[in-house]
Amino acid sequence: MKRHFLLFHAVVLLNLLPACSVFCAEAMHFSCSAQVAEAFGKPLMQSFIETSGITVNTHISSSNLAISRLLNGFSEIAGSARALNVHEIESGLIEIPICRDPMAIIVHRDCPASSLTGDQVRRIFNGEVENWKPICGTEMPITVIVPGKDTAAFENFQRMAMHMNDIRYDYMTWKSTAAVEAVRYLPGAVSFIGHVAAYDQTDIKMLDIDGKAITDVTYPYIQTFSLVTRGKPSPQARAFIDFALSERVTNFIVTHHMFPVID
Amino acid sequence: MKLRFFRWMVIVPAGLALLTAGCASSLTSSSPRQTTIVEGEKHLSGTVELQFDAFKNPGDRRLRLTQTPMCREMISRETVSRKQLHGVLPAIIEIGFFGLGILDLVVANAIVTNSENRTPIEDVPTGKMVPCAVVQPAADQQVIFQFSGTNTLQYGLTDANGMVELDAPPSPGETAYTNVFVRTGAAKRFAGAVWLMPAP
Repeated sequence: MKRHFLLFHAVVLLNLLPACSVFCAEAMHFSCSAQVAEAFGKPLMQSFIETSGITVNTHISSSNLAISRLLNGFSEIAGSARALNVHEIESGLIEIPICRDPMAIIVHRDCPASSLTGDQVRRIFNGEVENWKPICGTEMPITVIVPGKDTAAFENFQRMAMHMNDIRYDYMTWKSTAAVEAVRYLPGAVSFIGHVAAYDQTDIKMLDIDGKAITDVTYPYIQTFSLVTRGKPSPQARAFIDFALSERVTNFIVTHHMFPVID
Repeated sequence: MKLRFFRWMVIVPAGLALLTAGCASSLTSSSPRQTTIVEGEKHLSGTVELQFDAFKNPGDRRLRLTQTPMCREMISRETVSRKQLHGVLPAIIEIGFFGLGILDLVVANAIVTNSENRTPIEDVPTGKMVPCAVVQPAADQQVIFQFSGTNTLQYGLTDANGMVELDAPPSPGETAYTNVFVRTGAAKRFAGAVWLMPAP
């Protein structure tokens, strides 16, 4: 009996050890959409860690999964590229929009096209146009690459560019930002992504839409990047929100051709 | 047989004990110093920022904003240089015979304690922010309201009691909450979300 009692306590203690390492330290668990993570990047995150002393454990996934992890208590804060739905708001989630990011239509640098109309975008992504020839006169098959259906990039593009019509594609990537990698190696490829993910890529070209450059405030495809908390944010999450609203991050947003929401 | 037993069980251990007497203290004393970096005491920095909180007045559209001076919890990092405890095993063997091993261990331990030398290196934040003064009304602060589901912003200014009037949201039936921000120079600070519908 005594042996069982000791064994029971040993098992309980062993179970508490990993839990303590997760929750006892001054660490914050951040579930983040791949686009948001790409937009803000490692240098900013490193700067936050250094100035605040808070350790950030980042889990990069789709926006849907990031919000789901937040709802299920796996993280204190999430970074999302899509708006919350009614059910999520009723569950007590609070969305703090940080910036608006133009969604770029990206092609390989050797692609002859430099701009598209909204109608051409729809016809390319619904499979009506399969060659660059009718668009820019050069014979080259179009390879349509899209981020996974579960990603905010896919949902936002379907809503903004396709007006909720179906998207036909040749390849689908699991992570939204992986589409950039795919386009880099396929000369006829076209895809879409938050423009910061393709910002410094020399092998990638971002197309103007309806004569509007990506830096234009009237560019048609704009998505909002937000931080999401479950109810009142924890002190660490609040510090992170304040950092995202700081002068440093606002300058970063502006210099990278994004637009701060709270200004 | 008896002699062999006597030799192995008494004489040899006793000889060993005598040989190892004072071993721990002499080995410890002659050991080189070892330096490690440890975390020392926690203390608070001065006020580094203000934490703003927004509360809705029940029954009307007025919000009350408070500000709390926050300090950063710091921990000092220091180098600890000291001699390492050696010769513990021989000292334990001694204990069983004359009890001298205990004295040897006490002396060795004292050598370690006396050799300890602590030098502070730096203060680093622990990541915890702690309120370090009383909560006050956030007077004369520029406030930004952002209504949920929209990017529409409204601006306001708090009075001397930290009160500010919230205008009607652009789509009253659909706006669940409004985020409240306080402008501090070029930066903004999140003061919380105020539910316009019954909070979940």
